[in-house]
Amino acid sequence: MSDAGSMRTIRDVLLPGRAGVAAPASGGVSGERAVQRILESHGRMASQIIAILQDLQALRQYLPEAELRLISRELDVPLTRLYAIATFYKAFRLVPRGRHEISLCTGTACHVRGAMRVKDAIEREIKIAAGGTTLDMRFSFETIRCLGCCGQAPVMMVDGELVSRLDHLTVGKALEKYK
Amino acid sequence: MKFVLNGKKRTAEAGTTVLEAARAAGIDIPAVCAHDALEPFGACRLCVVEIREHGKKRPRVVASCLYPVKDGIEVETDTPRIRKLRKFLLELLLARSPGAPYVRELAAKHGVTKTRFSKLNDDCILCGLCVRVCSEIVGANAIGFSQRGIGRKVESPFGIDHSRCIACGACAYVCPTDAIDMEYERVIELRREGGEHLCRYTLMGFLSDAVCSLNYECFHCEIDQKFRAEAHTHPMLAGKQPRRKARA
Repeated sequence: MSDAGSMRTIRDVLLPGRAGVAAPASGGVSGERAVQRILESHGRMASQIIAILQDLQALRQYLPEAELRLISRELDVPLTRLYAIATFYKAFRLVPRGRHEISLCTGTACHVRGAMRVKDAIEREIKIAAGGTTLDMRFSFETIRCLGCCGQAPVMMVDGELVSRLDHLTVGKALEKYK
Repeated sequence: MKFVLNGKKRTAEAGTTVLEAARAAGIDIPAVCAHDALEPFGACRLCVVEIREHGKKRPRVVASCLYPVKDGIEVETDTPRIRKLRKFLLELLLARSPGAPYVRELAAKHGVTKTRFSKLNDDCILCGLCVRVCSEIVGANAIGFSQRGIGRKVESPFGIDHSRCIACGACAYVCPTDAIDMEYERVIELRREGGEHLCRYTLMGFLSDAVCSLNYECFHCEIDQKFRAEAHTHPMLAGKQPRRKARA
């Protein structure tokens, strides 16, 4: 808040809890405490913003809007800046992810061995298109390129675990154990 | 700093950019994203010039808005190589915003009337003037860039949050292509938020605690008319000095 003059007027008027301006983090005190801990671990430095966002995403699987607002206030970094960073890097996500993450390989070998049929089958099974998250937050589903084990094509990774030699008839069953 | 500009010897203060020095010498370098009151940004790249540093054989192409004058450099602002680069950039701009008179005129001025690229019809050329006015001059930080590459655009956070906007209209004022329309939505919202109904010029920092009695119909308002008449520019810009030389 080092800026003088007109800057102060705007901040004074718009910042303290006027309509539409940042409500505290949705997770209540514990959510705020988690963010504070992340901020402390980076010395509350605005220059560490990417590392801070990475830590937040590691914790929440995505960047919740309310917590971005909190970071914006705590570090005095404009929300527009955080939003620019969060949308610039593909590694950051602004929408929640499901409890289980399905990554289906659609690389060359898997493609040849019917990955697209498997993709259709998964989409039918969990009723969302690739790139989305189910409403019950059970699955997030995305296609990726190569997992490096083309000999077992077609393959997918569920929660970091490889599921190999898929076919479109049985892939639904393979997903049943993930609740 | 002593240097050569288009064959003539010139001097400039340290920290001056090549663009500023050239403009001071009356040499026209086209630049879309440069603005006297704002920090240089280097987005449009139209201000490219050739620079030969002392003892170097081949000239380099640099963006003059970001390049500080150095001792002994030779600057050429209008060579065939530079003209070719500018024409190419103008073709790209023309493909992006074929409907914007500003872009068409600028391109035509440099002999570009057609573009080889497929057209996009987006009036925003991503010069960043609005974003920088909002952060550097207004201090509201209501809009910023989002996404990247072909998806890059100017947005408020999360695409919808305009709570930081003070409806000063400086962004729309500086926009060269009129890609920004002032939506009176925000003004109406200021109205709805109730409470003190602070005058927009209070939000901008010109008046202390003036209260709006006209329900934000500024076009009826004496204060608005007075500021507009006196400023000859957007009031927000009139209140600021041209940018200080940041780099010494």
